[in-house]
Amino acid sequence: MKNSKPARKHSSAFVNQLLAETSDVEKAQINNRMTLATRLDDLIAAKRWSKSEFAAKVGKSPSEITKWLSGTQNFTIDTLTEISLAFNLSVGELFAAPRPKIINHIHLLVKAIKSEPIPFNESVGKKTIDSTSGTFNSNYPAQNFSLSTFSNAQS
Amino acid sequence: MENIEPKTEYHLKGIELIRCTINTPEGAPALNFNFSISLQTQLDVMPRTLTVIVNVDVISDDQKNVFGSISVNNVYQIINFEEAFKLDAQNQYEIPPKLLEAIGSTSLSTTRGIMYSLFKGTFLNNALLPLVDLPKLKQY
Repeated sequence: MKNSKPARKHSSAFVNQLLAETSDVEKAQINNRMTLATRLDDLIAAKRWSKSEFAAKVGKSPSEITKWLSGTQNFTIDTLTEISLAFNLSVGELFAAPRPKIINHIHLLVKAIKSEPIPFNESVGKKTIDSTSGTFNSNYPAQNFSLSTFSNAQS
Repeated sequence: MENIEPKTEYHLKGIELIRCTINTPEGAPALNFNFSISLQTQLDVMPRTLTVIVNVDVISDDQKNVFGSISVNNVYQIINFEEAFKLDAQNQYEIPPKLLEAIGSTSLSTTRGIMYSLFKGTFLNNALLPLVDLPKLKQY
């Protein structure tokens, strides 16, 4: 169980001086390096590779991978290309937030088949069963339904 | 927390109401309510979640009028993600079918409750989302 305590905000004159001396360009550079390091770490975890396995795939030493993941590495485009090939991604996708993957999609149409009101005690719990596509029941007193599945995609 | 074969530990992490609309028809109130239901399951690897997005449209007999619609995200946290979801030869995650059925049914039930709560007191008061037996849908 993770500690759910919120992070403390700390401020000091020294930290404020350091931040003031950092230009916007430097801040953006650091942000991008950290973002890429985090993304790499996530990708390695998603593939369930160890750092050594990943190092072997990109032809580097494990210590170099540790440096990459520290967020201090200034990658060349050639290195990024090697990394992207190892993950079977484009270089651009290394910087993009991963999208959730659709693994199941089903679409159902449940149609009312009676429009005449039915006394409550006769209809409660009544079931209509479509043996080809599924079953359902409704306790709604004034209607029965038929159900059909008209699309289903799985990727 | 529940156990499903192969053993998957998960819990409901969040419920998000994305959309809810009610369109009151002109003239006589509708007698019949038909339902167009869509369930989409998404896998998000890094937060280790499965999200079931349930969209329901309450529609007229001729399916031309939408009386009301609702969209609900149901987010499930998978506790033992690495153990429960194996990677196949193509590096794709194998999701236990029974887990998909379980969270699909739970999400439909959750949406049914939210629908009832939101439509209560309107002309859609009786538009109860029917029970759907997902495991019996062959294609699910």
